[in-house]
Amino acid sequence: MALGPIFRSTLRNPTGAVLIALQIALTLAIASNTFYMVKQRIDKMNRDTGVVNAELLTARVFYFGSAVDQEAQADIDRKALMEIPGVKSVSYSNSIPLGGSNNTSSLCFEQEGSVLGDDNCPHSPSYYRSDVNFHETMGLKLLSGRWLNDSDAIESESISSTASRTMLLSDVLAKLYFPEGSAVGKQLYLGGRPLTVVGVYERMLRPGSGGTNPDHTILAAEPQTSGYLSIRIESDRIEQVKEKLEATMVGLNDQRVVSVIRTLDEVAERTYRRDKAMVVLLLGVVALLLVVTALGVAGLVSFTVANRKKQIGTRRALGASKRDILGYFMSENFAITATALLLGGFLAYALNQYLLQSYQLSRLEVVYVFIAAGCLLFISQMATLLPALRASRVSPAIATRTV
Amino acid sequence: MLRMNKISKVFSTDLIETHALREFDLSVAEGEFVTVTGPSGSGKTTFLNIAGLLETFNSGEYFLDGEDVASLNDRQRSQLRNQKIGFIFQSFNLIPDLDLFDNVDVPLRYRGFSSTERKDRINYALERVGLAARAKHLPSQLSGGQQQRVAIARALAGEPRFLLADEPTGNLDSLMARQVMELLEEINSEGTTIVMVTHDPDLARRSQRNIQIIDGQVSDQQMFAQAV
Amino acid sequence: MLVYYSKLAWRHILQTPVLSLLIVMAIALGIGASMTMISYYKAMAHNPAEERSDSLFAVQLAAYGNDMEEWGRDSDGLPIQLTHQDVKNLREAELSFPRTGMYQFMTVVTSQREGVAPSNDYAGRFVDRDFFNMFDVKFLYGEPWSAQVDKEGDKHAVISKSLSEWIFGEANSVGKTFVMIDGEMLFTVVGVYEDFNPQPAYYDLSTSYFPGEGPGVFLPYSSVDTLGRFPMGNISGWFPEEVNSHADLMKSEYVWQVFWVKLDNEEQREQYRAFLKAYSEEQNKLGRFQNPNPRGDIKDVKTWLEYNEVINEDNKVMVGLSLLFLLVCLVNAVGLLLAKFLRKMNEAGIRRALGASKRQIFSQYLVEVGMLGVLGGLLGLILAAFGLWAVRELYETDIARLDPTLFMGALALSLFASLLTGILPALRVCNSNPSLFLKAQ
Repeated sequence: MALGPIFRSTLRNPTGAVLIALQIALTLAIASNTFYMVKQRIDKMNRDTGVVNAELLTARVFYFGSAVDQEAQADIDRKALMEIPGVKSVSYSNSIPLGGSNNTSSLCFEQEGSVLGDDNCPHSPSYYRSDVNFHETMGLKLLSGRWLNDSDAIESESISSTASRTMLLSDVLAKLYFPEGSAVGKQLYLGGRPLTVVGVYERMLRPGSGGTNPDHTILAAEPQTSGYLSIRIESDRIEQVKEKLEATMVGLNDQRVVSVIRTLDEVAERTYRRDKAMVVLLLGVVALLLVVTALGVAGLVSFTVANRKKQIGTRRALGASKRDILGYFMSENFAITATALLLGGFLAYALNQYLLQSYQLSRLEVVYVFIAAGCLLFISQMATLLPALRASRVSPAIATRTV
Repeated sequence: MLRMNKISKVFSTDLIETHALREFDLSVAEGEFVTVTGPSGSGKTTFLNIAGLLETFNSGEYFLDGEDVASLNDRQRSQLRNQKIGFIFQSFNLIPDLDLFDNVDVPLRYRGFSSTERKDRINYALERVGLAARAKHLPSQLSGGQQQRVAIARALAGEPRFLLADEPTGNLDSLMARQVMELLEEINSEGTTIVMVTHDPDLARRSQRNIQIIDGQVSDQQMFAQAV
Repeated sequence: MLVYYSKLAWRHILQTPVLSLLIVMAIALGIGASMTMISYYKAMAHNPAEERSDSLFAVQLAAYGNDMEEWGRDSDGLPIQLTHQDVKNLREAELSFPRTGMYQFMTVVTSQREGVAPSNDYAGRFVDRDFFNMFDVKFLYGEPWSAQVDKEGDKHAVISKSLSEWIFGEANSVGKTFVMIDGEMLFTVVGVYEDFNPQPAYYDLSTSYFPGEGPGVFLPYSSVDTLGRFPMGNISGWFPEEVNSHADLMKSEYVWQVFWVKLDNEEQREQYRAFLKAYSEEQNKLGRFQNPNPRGDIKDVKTWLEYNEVINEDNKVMVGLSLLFLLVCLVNAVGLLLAKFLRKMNEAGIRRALGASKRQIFSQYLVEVGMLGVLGGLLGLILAAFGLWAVRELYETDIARLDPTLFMGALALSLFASLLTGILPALRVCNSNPSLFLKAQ
């Protein structure tokens, strides 16, 4: 079927076609950017934490009795908890991945006042202070060097920075500071103190939602006696232990409050709640948008069909088959939609430019425009199909009837 | 009542210009019953539309009841149409979703009458055409002749001085056509000027004057004796 | 005439139920989505200080040095918190304006009811007595501690009604004592307040913007030294500094506290600005504030909320997206209205022939569009109520609700939007040549 006559008849009375096209173009611009935003959020939520999420139970431990020997109590706790079937490892630390409290400090090449100026301290990683078992509790992966051991462990009351002399870096951080060669054995300054890198682990996310550089973390051996308690348990026993944890801990010592008992998956869920909410809302709006667009297209095509009933009848009387009539409306819609999608592609790009300038969003990947365009073409054609089928069933006899 | 001097109307598209009326001259006196005949495409309908202020013209003069129509804006033309002109169409053109009462009400609404006055006029007009009992019926529940009588009632309700009829009997069988024609003659006898477009030479002969339009001009006029 | 148009419009709406429903749905979805997002945005942008907003000021100081150009917020290089030294100095300055220093701490409270374990669910906060008046804390029983206590410190406490009920099993506990801090200190209740949790928590934006629970207990700021509680919130420093104890923290250049002052008129504000300038220069002479431009600033509540970007990007993006969605819905409605009205071309032609002017036809159709708009708006409000329920569930927040002004706003918006969309279709109808539709076809 030739497209020429279709275009000409559409151009003669363009209002309906223009409205459909405008709607599809706007929908494409919105949908492609939204799909992309959704994709970014989902990537964020699904990113590797670097730790064994499914096996981790965490809690906050806060002492209120001043007479408690916390150090001795921490040992008692560890022994008691390790006896519970399924428990593999126990640690106290200053914070946990995706969790609440966060300690960050500038990581510098040299002592303060260096000639390097602004380049001296390029990043501010989060640092974890815990016992020498922490890597085992978290299930970290060593890439080079060694884990921390008792000789690294140091006692400190400091709240400003770690008193440790040694540390492990995350792989990302190691590569940023030492792009050529190994970081192991090198010295860096954290919070004004020199620390020697003894190893590099694959990854462990920062506390909280992570910000822009979620992989920038450091591990130092500085045993804690309160703060965050992490227990690694066989994942099928985790719920059992969770239920009894508060009673067990308070039973061991009642001069403390054990609260915020959550599996790491629950911690992650809370941390990513905003992202999940955003994904649901974005997808909800896009779904409604597609429904509205489909109804709009169907409505206008039905109207066109009703308007051209006589013309359709005449064509049928002059020998057009049902298939021809169906093809006529489908190709008309195809032509309008394709034109609109071309326009919508530019609009999508313009909207993305605006979002880039106003918000911290990254450049739209073209594939999302194509995905959205494909969806729209499909929806638009489906919305046309029903009224077009109705058109194809118009009786040729209508041509000979007046009124 | 109506005076047209050298009225021209041109429809132009990209390719061609069609002269629907060229230097058309016509006068109709108060109280006259004039029929207009002519072949298809001769300009009869264009003449009727211009006479009824539904269309504008390109050049010439048109005085309706002494008023120069060319200088009026849409609102004034609509007002004039509403007060002085009544329309009767071949296809009746009743509004299908309104009952008879509401159909006759339409022109009165744009006149700004009070609701009691409208009610009186509607009832009187419907009685006049013998359909008062069916005021709450929808047009689709009536026969063609009855529908045309409602249309006449609608045209009469505003007491126009001038009635324009476009083939009012074209869609009716001969019995009904005769009834409608008799109704028009009765209205005319009460002083209302009527201009009627028709195909039917018998009907044309029943009027006082017949005008034949060919190619947008008056080609022939015939005077008939007053029908008794 | 309006009544007549309304009657005709309603009849016409009922005659084309599918098209009318589609149009109402399109408007309703657009209004529902945008109202949901706007309501949520408005709740976040809410200024809980209301009429006190213009007279309450957060104080900032450029308390950093060593030739650092700036440290803190990008826009003016000032940190949002203050050092303990500065808060102490500002409190003790010889000015008569109401003021309060503050910071939040975590504590464990012991209940006096049988079988209730100690809890750290109730956050504590050190404030001065002016805090209660400045931030409109409503006392149910008792009153703030005395001016004397504000100077010298004492174990007085003002607690929330919830905490009072949790500890004592009754709301009025004025004069009673309870155990808090290290499980051994006795505090005397001097006042009980109606639970206080303004959203956003504008009095201290360094912790959480929308905390689930407000403070449970207020203690006199003058007891900060003796009680030695570490803060629960941000501690930031601009150079490495050894801090091993609470005493170290109080002496340090770390910022971790907040300070507010009440200034009722421009004269007082000028006076306070001059005071901050003199103070900064004095500190500079004393060897602190060694940055190139020692300075201070005061920001009223409205400015403070904007400065701290309480509304996050997600909310702005969602409002923008929902408005674009509304736009698509309206384009949709234009198309459907056109379809709806073009079916009525014939009737419009008859009415024109019977004496209706273009304006009258235009008005008739616009009345119909307006009716559809109002219907769409009402349905949209129902959808918005549902949308806000979804937002509350998703964000686990309680702040997003429809308020009466938005109710009217939604109706006005949908009426306006529908009239706007109706103009084109209504013009098409009233401008069409009536004679085309009158001739039998």
